[in-house]
Amino acid sequence: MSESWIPAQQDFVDFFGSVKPLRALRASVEEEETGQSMEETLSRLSLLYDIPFAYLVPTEKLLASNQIRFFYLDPNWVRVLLDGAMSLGRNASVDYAHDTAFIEEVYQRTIEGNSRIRPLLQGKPVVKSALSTSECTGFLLRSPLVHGWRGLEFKAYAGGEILTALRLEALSEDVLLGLYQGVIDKLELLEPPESFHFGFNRNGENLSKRLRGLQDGTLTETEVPVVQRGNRVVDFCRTAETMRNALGVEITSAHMALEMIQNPHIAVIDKK
Amino acid sequence: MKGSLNLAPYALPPLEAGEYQVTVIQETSISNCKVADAVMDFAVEAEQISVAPGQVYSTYPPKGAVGTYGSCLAHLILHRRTLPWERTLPGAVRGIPWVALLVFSEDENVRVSDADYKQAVTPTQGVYIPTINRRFGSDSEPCRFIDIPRPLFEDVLPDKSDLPYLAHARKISLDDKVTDGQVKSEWFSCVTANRYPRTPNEGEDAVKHSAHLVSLEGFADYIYTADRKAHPFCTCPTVRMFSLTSWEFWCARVEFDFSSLVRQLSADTLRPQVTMEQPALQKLIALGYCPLDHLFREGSRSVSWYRPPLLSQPSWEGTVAFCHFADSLLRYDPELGMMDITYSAAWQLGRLLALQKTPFAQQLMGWRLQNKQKAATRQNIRTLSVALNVSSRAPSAPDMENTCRDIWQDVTQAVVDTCGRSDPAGLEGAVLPRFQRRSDPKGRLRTNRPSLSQQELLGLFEDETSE
Repeated sequence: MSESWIPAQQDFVDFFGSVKPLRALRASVEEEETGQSMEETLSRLSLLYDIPFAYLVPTEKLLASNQIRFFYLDPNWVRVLLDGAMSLGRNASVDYAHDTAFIEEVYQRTIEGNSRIRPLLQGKPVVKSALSTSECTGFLLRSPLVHGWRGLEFKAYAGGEILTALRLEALSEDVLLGLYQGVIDKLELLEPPESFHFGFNRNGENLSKRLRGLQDGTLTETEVPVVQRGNRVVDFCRTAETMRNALGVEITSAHMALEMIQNPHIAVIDKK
Repeated sequence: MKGSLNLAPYALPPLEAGEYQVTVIQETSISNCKVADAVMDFAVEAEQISVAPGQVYSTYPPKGAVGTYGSCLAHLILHRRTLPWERTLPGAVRGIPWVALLVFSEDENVRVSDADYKQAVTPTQGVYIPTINRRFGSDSEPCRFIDIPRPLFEDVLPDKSDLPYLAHARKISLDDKVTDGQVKSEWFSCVTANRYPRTPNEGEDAVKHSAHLVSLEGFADYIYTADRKAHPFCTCPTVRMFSLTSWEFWCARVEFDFSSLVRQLSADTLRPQVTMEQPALQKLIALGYCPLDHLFREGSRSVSWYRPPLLSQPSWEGTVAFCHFADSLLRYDPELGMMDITYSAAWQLGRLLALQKTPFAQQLMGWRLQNKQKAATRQNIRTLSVALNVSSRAPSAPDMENTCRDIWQDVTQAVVDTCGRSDPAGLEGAVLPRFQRRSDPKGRLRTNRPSLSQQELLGLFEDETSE
């Protein structure tokens, strides 16, 4: 046989033209064992998981301490990253033809699928969100806030609309990466509610606390003294009694927590 | 602010720590017959002398923090919402925590020791050691205990009427939160201190404080006694407590809280804050490029430009095509005489990261192979259907059979034409010509000849001759 058995490139593209293989990108039997589907691995890559920090911030000057820096994620960079990941075992021209036929769809699916990663990591049901934009923006935060306030909360907005968080993760002790679907024009930093702390107003040795309404939790004008036992120990029992008299309900530790929690802070960063 | 925080006075475990017995009794009406009871013992364990660091979600003030904490109470958030209620002190009702958070300043002579359980319970002169009901765990289990001077202990130990207020459960929403691999539940438990930290006096910069989550096991008789003065430890100058977990912080005059930290933040887009004299370089820097050492494959060195994927403006480049290998993404600027390695580096990184993930590589191979096989099957069917002149994409068996018959007739016609009508024996070993159809199958027909008997063949010839 003198003719080459490899058909021309064109034939190959056509060859894969009629196949619909992307269903197979989802879980097959082996994937259930390894726990992560191909699509998930790629989606993670597209959210910059496992990317060495030096590839994101090559010099320290870009991100000094006490800074928050916003950015647009380069879609081309993610594209070639995924192409590189898909290049394994792409040896024969038939493999290349195969990938040429599919890589665009793989890329699209990866970008669409990356909103599933966060709920997955949080152990929550995945809600299929309508993809409004493939544009991705985010921020890098370097501050003692990252390790001092575990469970820090962020809310990003674009024109008043709340954006879907794709990734919010601490990369190290003091660096945090946030990625959102869409272009952020306003970001809110919220104190983590599970870490709201107990506090009171202090006037010399006298302690007092403004009470919160039990209906909506807003501060009222009523201020009750916080009773002390001496040696800086707070007398919760008698404080609870004064609260009961002011609010008219039996005070449990949940009521006590509601009343004693300091007002949380919200920081807002607006785009100029 | 929208968002919610749910508070609960306590979260009781279905079963408290301790030993249990299940007994199944079967009664029967059959006389003189008794079925033996089935008995099973089991135990529910819970933390007793230490709490694993992984169980602590967060602390306030943060570990090692320096700030103005003079008007707040320290607290500790635990992952397991039931932890503070998993044991009940004798004399207490359910829903009263068995742990308490104590805060001491550095000048209060509280001695911290790290040892094992055996050392902790070894009787020591002048130290009151609580007796705990420990049924499981080894003597060599490491633990931390604190020795507190008795007058201080009497002051800071929560009163029985205060205890219920010192722990509660919280439920929050994870929606806007930093993803945290350890957090799977929206519920936490919170233990609060009953004592606020001391602010520094004149001349002091900061006061070091330590907060200890202590076990109250063994102190129930003291907490719930009517006459505290009569308690046996009143003869001991110090009291020992198990510190389940602890951390330190400094109370100072500098602010270190959420709002002050946020105020210190400077916000901007991610771009280098350097200026270059050459306009060409300045332009590159402004676009986010960084000059990096580049070691070439053949050994020479140079400096090339790399741009991280985090841009200070929307991407201005057109879509980059997919490629065979990383080097095809290198870009050279003849004017500057330097290269842009951004996409080349990203491609190679993607490849390396994928190589690291063996399951991914296997899945990728499997997926590609499967697709190739499917495509090959389809291609075969397609070739066949074209050859057989069947229009449908997946020809059915009767279709194929009919077409085969057609072909066979063509073939015999060709055979007859070639070999002549008079000599059927000339058919043996004859090389058959390609027959004319829209697409010619390759190779010799003989190999694909449908098996017809000699009789049938001859019959065909006879028909021809008799006409």
